[in-house]
Amino acid sequence: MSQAGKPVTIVMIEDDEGHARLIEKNIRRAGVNNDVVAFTNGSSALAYLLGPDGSGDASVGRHLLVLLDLNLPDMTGLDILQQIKANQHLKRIPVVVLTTTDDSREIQRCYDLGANVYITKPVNYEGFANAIRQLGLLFTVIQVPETA
Amino acid sequence: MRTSETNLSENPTDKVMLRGSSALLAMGLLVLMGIVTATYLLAEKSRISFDDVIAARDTRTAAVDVRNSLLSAESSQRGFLLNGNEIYLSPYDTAKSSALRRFEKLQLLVAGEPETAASIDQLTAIIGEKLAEMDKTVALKRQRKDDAVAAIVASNRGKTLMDQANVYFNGIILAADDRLTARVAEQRSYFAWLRMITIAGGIAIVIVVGFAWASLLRHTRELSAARRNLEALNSGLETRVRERTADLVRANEEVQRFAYIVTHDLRAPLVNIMGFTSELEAGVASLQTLIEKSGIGANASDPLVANARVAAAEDLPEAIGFIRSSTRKMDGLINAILQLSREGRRPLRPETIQLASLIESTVSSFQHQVKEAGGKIDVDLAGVEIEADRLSLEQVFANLFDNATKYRSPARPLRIRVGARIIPGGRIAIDFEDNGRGVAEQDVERIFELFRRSGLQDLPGDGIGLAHVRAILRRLGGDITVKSKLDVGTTFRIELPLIAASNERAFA
Repeated sequence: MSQAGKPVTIVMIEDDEGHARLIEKNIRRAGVNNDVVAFTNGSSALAYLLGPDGSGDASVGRHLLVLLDLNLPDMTGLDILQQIKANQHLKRIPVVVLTTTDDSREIQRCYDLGANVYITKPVNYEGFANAIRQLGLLFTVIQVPETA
Repeated sequence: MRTSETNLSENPTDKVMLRGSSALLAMGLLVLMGIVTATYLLAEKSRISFDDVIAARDTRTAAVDVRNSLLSAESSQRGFLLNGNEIYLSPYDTAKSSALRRFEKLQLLVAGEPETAASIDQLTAIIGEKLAEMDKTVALKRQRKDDAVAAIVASNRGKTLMDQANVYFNGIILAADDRLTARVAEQRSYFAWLRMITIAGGIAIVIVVGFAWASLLRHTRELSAARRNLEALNSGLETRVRERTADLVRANEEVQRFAYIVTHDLRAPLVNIMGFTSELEAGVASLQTLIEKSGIGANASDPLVANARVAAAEDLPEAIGFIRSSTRKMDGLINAILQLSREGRRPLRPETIQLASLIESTVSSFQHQVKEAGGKIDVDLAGVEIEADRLSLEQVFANLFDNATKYRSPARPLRIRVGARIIPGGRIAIDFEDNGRGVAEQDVERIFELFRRSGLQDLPGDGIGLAHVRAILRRLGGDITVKSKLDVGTTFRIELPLIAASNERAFA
C-alpha cells in the first residue's frame, strides 16, 4: 500500500492490546508491511491525528489509513470518526471501523458519519484471523490519498 | 387484585350506625306507645268522669222534679182547701203520682251512693207522711168537715213536712252540684295532662327524628366518602400496576443490555486467549519441526535438553489442548447467553399458525434420525390453530424433538406423541410425550436452568435448550412444565395463549 512512493501509515485505534497485536500479526501475514501506529485510547489517537493545536495541520502530507474500534475507554469511536470526517485535512483518510457490534443502527450511523468500511469482528478466533487477513489483502490494493 | 377483605356490613362504623339507629327507633316507639297509653288512660278517666257528671246531673234533675211535683200537689191541695172548688184539685192526683214516680227514679239513680241513702230513707218517710196528710185534708174537705181541716192546717204539720223535705232535697241537689264541680275540675286537669303529654311527645318525636336524620346524613356522608376512597384506591392501583409494569419492562431491558454487554466484553479477552493460543501452537509447531529435523538431543544425556524435548513434544501441546478446549467451552457458554439475549430482543411477529403443519415441518429434519432408531412420531393436532410468533414455536419444538431423539432409551424404540387441547382462559395445552430415559424427580426443575443438565452425561450438550425453550414460551405469555419418570418417559406440557397478547410479556 503506497501512494507515489510514499508509504502509508496505518493508525490503529484499539483499546485491547492483545487484539491490536493479533490484528497487526494477521495483516502482516497478508503481506502488509506498512508502519502501524497503535493507540489504546481515543485522546492520544486524536492528538496524533489533529496535532497539538487540534487543527489537523500536523497530518498534512501524511498518507494515513485509520483502523477504528468503537469501544474505547475514554470516548466512543463514533466521536473520533466524526472529528476525522469533519476536519478539512483529515476528511479523505479512509476509515475502517473494526468492532464487535453488529447492531444495524450502529452500522448505518457509522456510514452516515462517513466511515469507508465497517467490519464486525467475528466472534471466534478463526473467523477473526481470517477477516483480518482479508482486510490486510484489501490494504495491499487500496489507494490512499495524501492528506492535504 | 386480591378480594377486598373489608365487608361493608362488618365495618365498625356501620355497626355503630346500626345500633344507634335501632336505639333511636326503639326510643321513638317507646315514646309513641307512652303517648298512646297515656292518652287512652286519660280519655278513659275522662269518660268515667263524664259519666259521673251525667249521673250527678240526672240525680239533681230528678230531685228537683220530685220537689216540683210535690210542690205542685201541695199548691193544688191548698187551692182546694181554700174554696172547696174541685177545679183546683184537678192536677192534684197527676202531681202526686208524678211525684211518686219521680221519687222512684231518684231512688234508682242514687242507689249506688251510700251518703245519699240516708237522705232517701228520710225523704221516703217524709214524702209518705206529707202525701198522707194531704190526702187526709182533701178527704175531710170533700166531707165538708172544715173544722177538722182547719185543725190539721193549723197544726202546721204539712208545712213542717215540706220544709223537712226541702232540706233533704237541697242536700241532694248540693251534693250533686259538688260532684259536678269536682268532676269538671277533674276533666280540666285531665285535659291539661293530655296537652302536656302531647307537647312532650311531640318534642320527643322531633328529637328522635332529628337524631335519626342526623345519623342517616352522617352515614350517607361516610358511605360516599368510602366510595370516593375506593375510587381513588382503584385508580391508584391502576397507576401502580402501570408503574410496576414499566419498572419490570425497564429491568428486563437492563438485563438484556447487561447480558449483551457482558457477552461482548467477555468475548474480547477470549478472542485474545484463543488468538495467542493459536500463535503459541504455531510457535510450538515450528519448534517441534526444528527439533525433529535437527535431531537435537535425540539421545542427549543432558537432562536440560531432554526436558526441553519433552516440553516441546508433549507438555506444550497438552497445555495448549486444555486451553483450547476450555476456551471453546467458554465460547459456547458466551454464545448461548448471547443467543438468549438476542432472542429476548427479537421483535415477535404473531401470525395464525396451523400447529400441525408447523410441527410437521419441524419433524421432517428429525425424521430420518427417528426412523433409523426404529422410532415413530404421532402428531394429533388436526385443526388446532394458534396465533403466535412462528420462529419462536419452531425453536421450541426443534429443541423438544432434538432432546427426545437425543435422550431416547436404548431399551425400546422411540415413540413421540404430540397432542393438544383447549383449556379455560383462552389457552391451549400442548402435551409432548416421549418414552425416553426420563428425568429423575429431583432434577425436574433443574433441566430448565441455564447450563444445567441431568442424568447420564454421555452425550454432548451445553444445558441451554430447555432454558431457551422456557424463556421463549414465557415471552409468548406461556410456560412449560414437565412430568417425568426415570426410565419410563417424559411429558412436557406447553401452555400458550390462543391469541397473542397485544403487548408482549416483559419476561424473556
